[in-house]
Amino acid sequence: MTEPTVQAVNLRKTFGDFVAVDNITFSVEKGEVFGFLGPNGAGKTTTVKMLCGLLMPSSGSAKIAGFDVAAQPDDVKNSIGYMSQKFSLYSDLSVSENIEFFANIYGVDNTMLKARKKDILGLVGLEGREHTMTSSLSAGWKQRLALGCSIIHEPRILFLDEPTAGVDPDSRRMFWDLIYSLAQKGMTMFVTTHYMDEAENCKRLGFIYNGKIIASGTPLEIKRTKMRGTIIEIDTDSPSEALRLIKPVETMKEVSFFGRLIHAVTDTPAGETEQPIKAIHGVLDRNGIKVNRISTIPPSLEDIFISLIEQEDSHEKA
Amino acid sequence: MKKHSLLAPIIKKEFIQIIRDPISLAAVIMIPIIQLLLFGYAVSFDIKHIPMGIFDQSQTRESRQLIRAVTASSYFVIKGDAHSRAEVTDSLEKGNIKIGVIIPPDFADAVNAGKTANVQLLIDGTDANVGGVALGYFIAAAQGYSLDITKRILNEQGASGLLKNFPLLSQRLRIWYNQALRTENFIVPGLIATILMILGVLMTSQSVAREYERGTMEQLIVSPVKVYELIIGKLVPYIVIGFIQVTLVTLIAISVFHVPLRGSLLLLTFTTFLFLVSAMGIGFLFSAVTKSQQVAMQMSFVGTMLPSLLLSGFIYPISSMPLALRVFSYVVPAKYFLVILRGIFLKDLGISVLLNQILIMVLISCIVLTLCIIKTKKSLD
Amino acid sequence: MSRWKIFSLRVKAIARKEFIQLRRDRRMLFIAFMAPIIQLTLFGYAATLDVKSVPVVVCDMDKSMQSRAVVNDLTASGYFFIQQDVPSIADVRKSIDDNKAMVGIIMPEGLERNINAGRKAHLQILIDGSNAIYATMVRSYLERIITNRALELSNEQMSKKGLSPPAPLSVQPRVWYNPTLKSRDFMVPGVFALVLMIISTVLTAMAIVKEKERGTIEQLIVTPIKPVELIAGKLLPFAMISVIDIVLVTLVAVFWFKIPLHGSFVLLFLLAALFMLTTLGLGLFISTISKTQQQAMMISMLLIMPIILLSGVMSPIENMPVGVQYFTFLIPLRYFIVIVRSIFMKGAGMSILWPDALALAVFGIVFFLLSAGRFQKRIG
Repeated sequence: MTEPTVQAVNLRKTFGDFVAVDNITFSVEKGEVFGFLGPNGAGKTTTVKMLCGLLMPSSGSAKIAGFDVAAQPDDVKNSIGYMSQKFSLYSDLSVSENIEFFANIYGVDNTMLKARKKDILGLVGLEGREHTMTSSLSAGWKQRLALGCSIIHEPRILFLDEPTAGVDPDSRRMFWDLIYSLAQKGMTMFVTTHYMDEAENCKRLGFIYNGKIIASGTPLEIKRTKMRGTIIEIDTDSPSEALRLIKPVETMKEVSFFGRLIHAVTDTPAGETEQPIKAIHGVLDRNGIKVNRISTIPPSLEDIFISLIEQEDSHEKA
Repeated sequence: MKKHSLLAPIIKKEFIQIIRDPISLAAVIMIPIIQLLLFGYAVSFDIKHIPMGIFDQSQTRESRQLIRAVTASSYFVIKGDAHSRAEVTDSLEKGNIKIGVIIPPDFADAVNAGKTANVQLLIDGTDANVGGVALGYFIAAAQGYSLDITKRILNEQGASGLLKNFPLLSQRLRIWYNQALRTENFIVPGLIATILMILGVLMTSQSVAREYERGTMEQLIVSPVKVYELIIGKLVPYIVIGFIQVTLVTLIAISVFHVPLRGSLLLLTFTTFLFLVSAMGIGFLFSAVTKSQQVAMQMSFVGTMLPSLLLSGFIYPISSMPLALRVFSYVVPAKYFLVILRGIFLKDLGISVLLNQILIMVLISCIVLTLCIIKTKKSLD
Repeated sequence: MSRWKIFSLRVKAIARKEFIQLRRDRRMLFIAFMAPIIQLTLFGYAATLDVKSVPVVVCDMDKSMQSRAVVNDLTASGYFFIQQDVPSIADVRKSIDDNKAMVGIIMPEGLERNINAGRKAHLQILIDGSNAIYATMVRSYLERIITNRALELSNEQMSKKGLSPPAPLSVQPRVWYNPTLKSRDFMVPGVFALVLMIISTVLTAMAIVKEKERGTIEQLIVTPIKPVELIAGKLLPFAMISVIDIVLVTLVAVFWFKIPLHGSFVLLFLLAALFMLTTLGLGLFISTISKTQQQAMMISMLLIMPIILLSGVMSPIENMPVGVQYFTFLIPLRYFIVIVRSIFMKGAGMSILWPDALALAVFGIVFFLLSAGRFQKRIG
């Protein structure tokens, strides 16, 4: 097996007293789509900035494509592409001028430029719009162009920091198609996101909370190993009343809304949920709330992360 | 009731943004103070101690008397005696002296014989002001010396009747408003006007242009806020800052530099308010037209800083300017405010004398604010 | 690819980008080239302390030959201009209060009678001292004219009495470099320096801060670009604009204002380029301490104004307190002002200017490197 493309060991970053990233260790293999998840302020962007050489780690080390981020920043920068969550191309340059600019900055000289530009335009679907002013592109197209500019030098690994924030669902899907096709060509994709449906699409995930990685692995592994208890999904006509009633029921760990539905987590293993279902049904019936449907369901990633965060928070308190 | 409730949030928002940017706020407060201290302590427009070189070929009592007459005032300082004409011209070329005096060998003989004695002056004219003043001082001193000689001759010839009334024409010169001709007294009012104009226009134009650049202006214009409320709400916080600046500068001027404040404080407050409204209105207008911080800033520099520095009569008298500039100076608000400030600080003039200036400033403010409303409404389309 | 090839590729890319952005921003372009010309023109015409057509109000209560002689002396000198004749002293006061006149001359009744009888005659002069600088100069011109008249009158009296009046001392002034003592010839070269400084500093600072404000600088920092490449690429366009401005401003000074350029344009140009190292450095420095364009502008104001005041362009350095005078040695503009004025007015060459040029070079390079170093640290 080859060396991992990204390897972080005890990476830590503090700002004054505040610990933004707390001794995290993880690795990303070549050509995989790695999802880096976590709520806002968990340390996602700080981690990405350290890996890209925008921030110096306070301690620990990280290697990108075999280069140390602290000792060999130039080699690191040559091996990566970076696309930030804020649109950061020049809006007063045209599509083609932006591509040419970044190509030159990455040392792509004019002999190779034409071919590269054609490839990029084709890849992101902006052929024929080379002379459009970037400011007049829609958010989705701007992001595609930003992606194009960040892979102009064919980096081995691409960091995407919340690439689809504020982009409509259609464009999001197209954007992810692009991510897969790049990964298939062997480019490692490091994507931070807080969309859970996007997370399901990643090959492997790392979940960061309060500066610590609290879960990692493939989506399936995480679902299998990290979920304690079983989820019971309840569909009623008056969910808020129902939520209040279900909370005190025995064996209930957490009860929360999931859209119009209620997800109640019990301690009991998946095969033995007859008892709690009966208890819930009972309490709702007694209070005159009609139950449309009640059943156990496999956990979604969102369920798992909510449960992980609650575990972590109760740990903190204790 | 409704009107009040919409104005307050805009003012509040503006204040919050100002406080969140302490660097700009500190700069805005520091600029007038640093300016005042520099003008007060470092920069001096008084022309004194002009370095002078002398080549005295006469070396007599008479020539030394002339030198004494010239250096009696503090206008000239002698930088060594030269021993040749070349030495004088050399120092002049190197800039070590600004004025060179060459006294001819026959100076004493000519004076005693009542004949014309020629003294040669070499003046470095690069700084025309220094050169002109040096020439003026020297000629005045030479005139004094001539008068002394006349007196001596009158005395020798026993014409004591004439001597008593000598010279026949005398001038009683009085300087009004600023007897000691102190530079501070003249700088401070001018500084208040220029600083307020520059910062007023800059601050408002930046804050409004930023809203246009970030698209928040559109948001405000389509909200139920009335355009005039928007403008008032934007201006109020900066008028407050403007008053803080005026208060600081006035306090320093009075306590540190002893500039008199002879007129009415109430009138000063009222006219300052008027001036701030017109200055900030102009800033608002600039940014409503350009919608870009960088352009609005450059426009403020060229469009207000220079006119209020140059065409307001602050340092340079409007009466010596070409006609076109004199005409243009009529639309420079700082020109009127400066007359008012000098009137209040130095002359104790009341509202009746300053009425013209005040009315013009009211007119300018009205025009500017109307243009602001029109332009802002238009930017909706 | 060789190190040098990559360097030039990147610098060119940044500079080209900057030019494209400038070209698209017509107003910015207008400012870069028109603002210096407007500033120079305004200063050239307005910034003059020449005593010229000073408005005078006369209250002549004697209405005699002698009183008219005084008025004639004033108007003949070309420095004064009789705005109005008024009947009473109160009117004189009012004219000065209203800013209609700066000088009031009051000739009391009996002026001529007194003079003819050999008695002392007094005339009263009032000057508005609000503008202390100008009033000082006006006073000295007035005194000269009146004293001259007094000397003439005394001599006449002596001749009448059969005494031989002495010949007055003759002063033969020769004014070097600026024979007509026009302040414009002095101001315009000074403004030349100021305009260059303001434009290049502010444009540089704003261009860098704009990238910070818009977040585009982040995208640049993740690329392998070296800070030195970024600085060079960013400064190149502004250096070129400044160079064009040097030429434009010189053309306006020489052909419009007819300021004679006695020295070598090439020397002026080279030293101006040297001076620009310091202003571009200052722009870089300002960009490292500000996060937004507004801050950059305020800090520019805060720094540029004292620099101008202490540079000797507005008032002679010799008049400053000694401590402040030493401080001015740290201000590169000080040397450049001397250089520009000497080249324009004195036709000075390197043999005279070398100390100032050397100081400028040392300060320019040191300051530029410090700013660049600071900039590098900030973004690295």
